[in-house]
Amino acid sequence: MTDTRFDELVKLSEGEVTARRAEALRAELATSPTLRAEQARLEALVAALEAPAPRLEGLDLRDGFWAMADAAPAPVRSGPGLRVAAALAVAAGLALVTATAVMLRDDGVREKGASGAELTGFEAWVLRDGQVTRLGPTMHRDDALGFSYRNLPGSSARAIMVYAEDAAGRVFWFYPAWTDPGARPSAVPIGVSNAPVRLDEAVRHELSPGLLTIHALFLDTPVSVVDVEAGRVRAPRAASVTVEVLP
Amino acid sequence: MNPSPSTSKVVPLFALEGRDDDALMALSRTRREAFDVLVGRHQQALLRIAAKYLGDVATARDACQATFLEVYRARHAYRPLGRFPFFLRRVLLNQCHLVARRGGADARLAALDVAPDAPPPPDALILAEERRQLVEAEVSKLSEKLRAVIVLRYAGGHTLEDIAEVLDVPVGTVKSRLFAAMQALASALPGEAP
Repeated sequence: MTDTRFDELVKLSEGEVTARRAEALRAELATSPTLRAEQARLEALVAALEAPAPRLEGLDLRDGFWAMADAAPAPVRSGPGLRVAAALAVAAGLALVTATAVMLRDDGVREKGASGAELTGFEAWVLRDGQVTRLGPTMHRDDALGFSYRNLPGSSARAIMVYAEDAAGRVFWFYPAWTDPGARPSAVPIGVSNAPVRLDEAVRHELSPGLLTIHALFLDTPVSVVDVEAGRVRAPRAASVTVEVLP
Repeated sequence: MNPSPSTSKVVPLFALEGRDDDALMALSRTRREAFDVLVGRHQQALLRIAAKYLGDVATARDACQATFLEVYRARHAYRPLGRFPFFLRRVLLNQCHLVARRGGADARLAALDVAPDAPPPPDALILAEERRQLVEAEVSKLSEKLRAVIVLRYAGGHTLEDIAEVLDVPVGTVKSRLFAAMQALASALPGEAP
């Protein structure tokens, strides 16, 4: 029996052969012991794949879940570990800043955050294959991200910083970009405007699959990326959004 | 350090007096109970997928708990688009990938699958169990892409279209991966008498 016949039987089981071919195969199954043996092999394989492991049914993930949730460290690391991780990522050349201008639409800047959030907000955009779309619940790991923000009259925010953290606690800087580990880039100055404002560069990082949380800090006075990672900054207005990075 | 700013509303300090604490604790409990319902609803489906992917019940349990923990932490950012089961399975597969890459799917707890004092099962059940373990060992040798399709199709019982949505690939890609995986697995399985 050739692999081709087995493959054909798999496709038959999935309804992926033509009606004429399916009829012919069924007729052959009725008369050919060899093909029936191959069909039996397929059925045994499917049965093994469908069979649950013993003792699965008795498991209840709720047992101890909350103790684990309460005890587990927060996904955001603090202190030197975070700073080192970010510095290593930069030193390894993981941050690739693209020069592609992002043409953002002027609508739908999402508002999130604490007090004063009505005056500030940000929106994330995906640049893929030259096309810009609003960031949805998922993104590809090689997508570039661009951002727009709102800072309406009455807001005291005069600078913005945008960075992201993945589930492993790795930090990726977007605004300001941090490509030189010896530098201490500061927050990007912003003014007030009645309309959303785009940040003109999309940034691509080498991301890992999993959840990625993007943070935007709106600051009254500029601070450096080092200040943020050292925990010396508590932005009065902040917003975040979580996206799943696909493999 | 607090670079993970909260997106929840600020609670005025005067609300945190006396009996308000009880109200807030009750609110917290209600949220946990709601999440418990979610876990109870999906846990068996996820356990089946993870166990087949990782070939080990204890490791699968860890991967599933990590999945729900990740989802719980991201609950404020979840957008209710009615696609939660797809989202949940994507998170689970990522966890399984991570565990498998760390070598977590070893045989450390394989012995737990056999109850020590249980009466010996009939020969047919022994054969089926041996075949299940043999196939799961072969599943663990598949690439991540093929393995994801196989476990979603057979352990998860999902349609090819649903698998395509979970993996964010075209249905044709799912089919080609499924057929390639079945060929690889079949070559490791001994022939059956017709």
